[in-house]
Amino acid sequence: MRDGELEKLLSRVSRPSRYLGTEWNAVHKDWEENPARMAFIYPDLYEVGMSHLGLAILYGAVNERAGMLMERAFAPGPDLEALLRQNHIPLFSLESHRPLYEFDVLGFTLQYEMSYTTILNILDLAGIPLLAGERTAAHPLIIGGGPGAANPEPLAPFFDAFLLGDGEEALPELLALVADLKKKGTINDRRRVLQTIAGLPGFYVPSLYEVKYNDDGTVAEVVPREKGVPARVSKRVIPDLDTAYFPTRPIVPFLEVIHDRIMLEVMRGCTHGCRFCQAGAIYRPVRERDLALLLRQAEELVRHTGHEEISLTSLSTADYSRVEELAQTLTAAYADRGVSISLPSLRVDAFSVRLAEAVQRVRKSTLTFAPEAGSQRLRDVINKGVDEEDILTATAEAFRAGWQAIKLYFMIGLPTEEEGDLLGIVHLARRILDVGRKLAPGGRPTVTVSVSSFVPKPWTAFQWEPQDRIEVIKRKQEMLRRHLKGPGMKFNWHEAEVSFIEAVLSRGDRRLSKAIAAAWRRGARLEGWTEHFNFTLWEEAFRETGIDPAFYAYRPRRDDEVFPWDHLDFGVSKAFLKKERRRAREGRVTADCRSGRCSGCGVCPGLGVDLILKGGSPGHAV
Amino acid sequence: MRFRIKYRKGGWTVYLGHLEMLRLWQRAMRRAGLPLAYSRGFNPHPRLSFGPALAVGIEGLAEYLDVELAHPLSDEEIKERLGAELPVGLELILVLSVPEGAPALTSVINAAAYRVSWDEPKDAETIRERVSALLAAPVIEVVRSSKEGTGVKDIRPGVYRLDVLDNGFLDMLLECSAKGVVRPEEVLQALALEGTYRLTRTGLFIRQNGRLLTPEEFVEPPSPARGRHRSAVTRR
Ligand code: SF4
Repeated sequence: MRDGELEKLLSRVSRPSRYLGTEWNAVHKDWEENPARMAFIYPDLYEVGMSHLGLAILYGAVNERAGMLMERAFAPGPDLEALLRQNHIPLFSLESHRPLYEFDVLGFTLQYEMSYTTILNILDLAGIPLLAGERTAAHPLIIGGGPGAANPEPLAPFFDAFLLGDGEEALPELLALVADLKKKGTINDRRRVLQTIAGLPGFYVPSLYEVKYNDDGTVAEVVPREKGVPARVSKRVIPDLDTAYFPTRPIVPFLEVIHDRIMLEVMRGCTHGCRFCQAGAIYRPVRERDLALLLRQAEELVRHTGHEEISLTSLSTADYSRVEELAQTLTAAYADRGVSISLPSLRVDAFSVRLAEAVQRVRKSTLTFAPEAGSQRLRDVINKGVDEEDILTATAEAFRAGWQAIKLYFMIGLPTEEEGDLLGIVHLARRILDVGRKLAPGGRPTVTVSVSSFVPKPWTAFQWEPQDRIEVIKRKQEMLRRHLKGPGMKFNWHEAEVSFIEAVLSRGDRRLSKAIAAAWRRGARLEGWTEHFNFTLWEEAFRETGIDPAFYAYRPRRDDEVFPWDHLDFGVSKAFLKKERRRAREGRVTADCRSGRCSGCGVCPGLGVDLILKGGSPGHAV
Repeated sequence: MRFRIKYRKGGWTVYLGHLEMLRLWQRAMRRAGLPLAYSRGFNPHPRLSFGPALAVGIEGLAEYLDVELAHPLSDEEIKERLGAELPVGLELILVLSVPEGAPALTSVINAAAYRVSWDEPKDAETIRERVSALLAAPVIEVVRSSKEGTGVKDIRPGVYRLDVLDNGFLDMLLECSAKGVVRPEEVLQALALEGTYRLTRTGLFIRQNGRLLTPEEFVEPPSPARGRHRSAVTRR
């Protein structure tokens, strides 16, 4: 697009600073000198996409290499979308303002199911055919990665390839291959290109696989269509994060984004093994970063961004074996430079509270804990390794330390849940509020109970379990709402319909792609935003395509059922998950592999990697 | 130590709003390693104060901000270090130390100059005629909507100067103070001039006793003895 044209659009949209591409540390590489060109696309608004650490990592990892470049694109706001459509202007990248169809590769990150309709909308806005089979050599290769690649089947017909697992090495490999094919002139043979990509470790090319179904509609098998295509595709793992590329010059956005701070990734993976948690499973094994390296990275990040906050990120930062030392060193180093330290995810224990206290000199904000279930029985079923005492001690400590507001995350609709478990949520919240009344300075604490609905996810022990029906979830929410009233008590819940669509898509197969396309055609997009989600569009889409969503969300899976993602390999073995499922039903907990007792999930031997802890055993057991 | 910074806001940065500019400067100053002075209290923040906000989409040729530093640096050093940390489009023009107790930018700036440049050529004579007619009118009423509702406002006292250039471009000097603001679009509306144009804020001034001073000229603290601002001392 010519700049004059863009200027005319920008003066007519809200938050034009989303679309400039000239933020501090943005990379503008020469188009001609870099023959392999990729756009990284986060299928949501800029504010959400720029809060994603993966984007910063891959953007740097590709752009630091010669011969390739990566630019960014996001979903336009509804106002810009309308202007683009009216004026027949194709969606563009931020850095060079070029139409997305001019790139060789468009890479979508699949962070959550509710962005799938936005992906189709972006392809459409870019003037690219939605179906991979309808695209030619003139079109970019459309690839996807991130947690959604744990089961990419509902998106399979729209994508040329998916990357499973860590991308900082795999993506430059793909782009090097693209550069090579362009040089040889074979890039125009789409079939050959896809076959070659299928030969790269970690890349899954869905069109090279055939899905066969049983009469009852379940998957019979997924098999390669031709020789030379691997029967199973394994995820990529960076074995040692200390050697992995890490961006110390991330882009500093102009407008306020959701996570507007330095993200210092202290480790990858989580050892807790909560039985509902997909992230905990697919990012295994835990790999910690070296403390000295982290301190160096923090220093560079502060110098190159000017941010006022460093967030120590990971799935469970309090687990990092040298977290106290890290938090204290950083707090001391940056206190007088106006840079604060924050911890996004905390365990429910006293150690975590002390940690939060150490870094947060001003306790104005809310402290958040996730007990997940209201009764000990159910917490054992889901393998959440905390008991009521832990929770009460931790919250008491928090009130005593000066926090006024505690937020508690729970999940409802978990397997084996009964009314008593729900009343347990009420009971626990009330007890915590009572503790707060005694201990909180001022004596006017608030307890917020935030309840999401259980979504069974692939690669978890609960992947066989049905989801509660929408009416049942609503009844449970209503019951909690009635009980969680009164001064100091707040209650939030997730829309049951959104969780239902998530459940349908997360364990779906290729046939669902038709429903996604139909929902998009009826106007679905930006569905991560409550004001844009419209359940009616989905109901109509299912009716139109003859797809029964209940088959995916509500049906208990047979023990020996073949899943649509069984030909993919994220390391965790199905046998282990079955065992975990059995133990869940028996209410038996499984030890954290940090304790030194490997629970045999299969990741380390299967992928030839190791658990990497930097401080020996965790010295903070409370 | 307080420093006054004069800068140009151009290129793509014209699309940045006031809050975005605040964050941008804070971060640029941290990257530059300036020894920022922080406010006390629960949530310490650097002490920055800006001149009158510039509407999104308008280029500013001479914008201002003041910053408090914990210990002094030379004007040149600030200019060099900070200048290197600004995104494309923002340009540092001047850094000047400001005496302790000098009045804040927003409390002294009271006039803004704008240039209207038309996309397609206009006949300068026609515009001149309309301008003279407008300036001859004792009252110029425009419709103004605010949070309180829509009302009619007389902007005549805040229209200080209108000059038509030979190519038809229009220079305006309008009130821009804590007490009131006349928007250039309102003047164009009163002149009934159609067509597409580009607006540039060419300067911010202190209009005092018939003189126009720039904020870099007006840096002296108020003299308590006389109880009013001394007229400014021009540096250099
Ligand atoms: S294989 Fe053992 S040590 Fe490795 S992640 Fe799985 S449970 Fe932990």
